[in-house]
Amino acid sequence: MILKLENVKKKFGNQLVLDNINLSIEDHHIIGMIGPSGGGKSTLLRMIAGFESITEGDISLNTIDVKENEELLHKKCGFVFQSHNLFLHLNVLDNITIILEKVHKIKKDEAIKTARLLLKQFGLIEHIEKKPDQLSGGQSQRVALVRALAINPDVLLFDEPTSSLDPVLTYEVLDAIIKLKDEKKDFIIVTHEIGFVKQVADYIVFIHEGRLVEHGDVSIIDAPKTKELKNFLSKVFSWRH
Amino acid sequence: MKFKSKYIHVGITILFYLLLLLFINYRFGYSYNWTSTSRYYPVIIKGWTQTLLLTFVSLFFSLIIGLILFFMKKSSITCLKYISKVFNELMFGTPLLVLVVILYYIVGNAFNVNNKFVSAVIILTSYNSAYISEIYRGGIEAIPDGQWKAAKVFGFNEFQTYRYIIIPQVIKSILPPLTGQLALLVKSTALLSYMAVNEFFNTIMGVNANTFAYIEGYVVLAIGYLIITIPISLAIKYMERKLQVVQ
Repeated sequence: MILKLENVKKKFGNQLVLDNINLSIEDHHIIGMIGPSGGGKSTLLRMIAGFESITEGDISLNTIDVKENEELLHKKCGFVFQSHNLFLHLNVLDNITIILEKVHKIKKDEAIKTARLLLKQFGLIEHIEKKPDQLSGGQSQRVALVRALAINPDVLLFDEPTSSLDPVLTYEVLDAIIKLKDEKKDFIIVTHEIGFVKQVADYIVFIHEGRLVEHGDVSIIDAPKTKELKNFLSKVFSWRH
Repeated sequence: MKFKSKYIHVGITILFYLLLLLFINYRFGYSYNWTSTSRYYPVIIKGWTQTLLLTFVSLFFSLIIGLILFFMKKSSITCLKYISKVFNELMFGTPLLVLVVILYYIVGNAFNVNNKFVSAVIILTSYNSAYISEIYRGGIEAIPDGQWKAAKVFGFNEFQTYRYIIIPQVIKSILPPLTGQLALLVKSTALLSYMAVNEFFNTIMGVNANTFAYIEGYVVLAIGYLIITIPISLAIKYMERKLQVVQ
């Protein structure tokens, strides 16, 4: 994956949410974005996905300019939201096939075949006819993951996919995400699950109060250089213990 | 058992209203004479049909114009937004009777619209489309933000987002307010008698003038409007149930 951020700024009204972010990542496959809540990491991910406007600066993902090629970006990126955001009027199968048919212009038979295969792989085949309101939180998030995966994206983006789940369901979803690593999929994940990030990611980005404070390989979690990351990790780990 | 109990309650309800009606009738002490009114039944049926036709033609155009008004209000072009807003305010703030008189006698004349049926459809469509645009707005704004975001992030264009994601979800939520609006539309056709359209109300007034059987005429009116509104209400409830199953 190639991710380039140049002088990226984001303002909501007069409030500066992201301040001059510069980052260039090449030849890494799984990027973990960590940091305290409200620091701007989810906003940055949404900007990378092209559905949050960029106030200033440039972002490109796998050489696709986010500002210029939003349409292409949406076809090449899969996105998993904090809450599943499945289409509420459609069943599990249709949630996946509608995107393949209407956006990617894949024939219905082919779309159904792809969806069934992935649902089977993620242990969801028995829920194929269910509506989102008939699924548990963990099942919904796994369907959302399959939906994102079905378009065969170059990169998957996860925006705190387990933040609204209890520990059991969190495990269920993280287990599904780990499968993607085994399948050599590239993804960026915003999460508070530091242990999980350490296990799957090969690059860490730490964002604090709208600034990119530290980034590097996973070793920065064991040996943080900045005071902010040290404080953040000590709070996370002291809470865990 | 539940099924059986429902029928018992329906029976009690019918009995309650029947007894109430008989009591009122007894106290009123009026001796009905249907002979004179019934002689005019071909004219009455014609007037009733005209009301039915006016209602459905106006509803058809109101649903379209209402949608156009909604999109104008959502438009990024400010003047379109203002045109839609001002139109809605005018329709909300003016009694329909006043609109009938102004639109038929003043605006209609200015634009050379002489056909009464066409004028009536324009008036009812104008009035109802303002309300229907608000019903659309309520339905669309009730859709969770995440549905729009998901549609965008997966590459649906605006048309596809409305066609495949938003409208199927909106239809269900707008059906109940639409039923109410449709019933109002049926009843509001009575005000068109002020421009002498031969709809149901005006026809009955004409019949009454000949028969002097005013009470009978009003009873026919009440029953005639109910024959239109009750099936509409039942049909929409049936659609709601159908959608519930589908969704």
